[in-house]
Amino acid sequence: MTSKKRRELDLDSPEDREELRQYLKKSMKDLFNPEALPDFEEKGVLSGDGEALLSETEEDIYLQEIDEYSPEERRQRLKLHKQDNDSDLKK
Amino acid sequence: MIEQRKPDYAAVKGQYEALREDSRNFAYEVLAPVLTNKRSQAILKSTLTFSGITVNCINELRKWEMSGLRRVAWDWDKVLKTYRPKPKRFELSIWHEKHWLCSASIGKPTVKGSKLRLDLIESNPNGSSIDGLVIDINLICYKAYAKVIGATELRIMNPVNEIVRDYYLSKKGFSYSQKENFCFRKV
Repeated sequence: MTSKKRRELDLDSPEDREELRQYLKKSMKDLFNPEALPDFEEKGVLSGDGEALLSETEEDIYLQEIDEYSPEERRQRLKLHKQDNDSDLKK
Repeated sequence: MIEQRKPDYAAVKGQYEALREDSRNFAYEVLAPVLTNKRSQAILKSTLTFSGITVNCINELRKWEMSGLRRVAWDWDKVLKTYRPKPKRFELSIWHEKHWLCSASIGKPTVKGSKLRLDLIESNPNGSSIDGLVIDINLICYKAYAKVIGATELRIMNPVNEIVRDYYLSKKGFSYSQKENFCFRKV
């Protein structure tokens, strides 16, 4: 859903530590608002589908993330799809 | 030519354990010294502790499972068994006064790491002193880890109902994917 360039932070670097600190301070302002607390009780499950997670494989997750494919992987998928079609036609 | 060796599993595991710990610590550091819960009670930050899913946490989660108060019942033991081999996972337990487990959550990056998924959040079915703050505290910790590992998107998977989903969407920058039922925002 986003194509922003990735960069891992190096927490041994003072600059990156400061970048993280500033990012979190800004996030705090965006998130915590005493005037807009949830109008439901935060008791029990808030998110997640535990049963689905247990049956989900890495491959399932990977197949959902088309934007994470390399160009080679995209080509490979297209090629495989064509082969499937070809074999269907032969039948 | 010198062959570059891939780090072994133990090294990667140790590296990400340290990143999880650092992320939790940075998030803790930026929290206000006094927080206000839904009952308008002041909660001192110094009474809260952030940790991973430790043995103590697992014991408390088992008590939740036996309480009969959970809205949705999944087996945390099985979930943890699935996640433990994933070195890049993120996990968080929030404690009040070091003994009351307020919330537990777990997530993982997508295969190539461009997104961080918050897969499960559960708060204490008996309630906690941080009622009204559980989601915000979780999100600040997950945002920290997402930033550290270079993920460009944070996803909250499968909100438990529309009210909770709409609360996530009330937070700045969040959108909703109806197709896959998750809320997401840029990191």
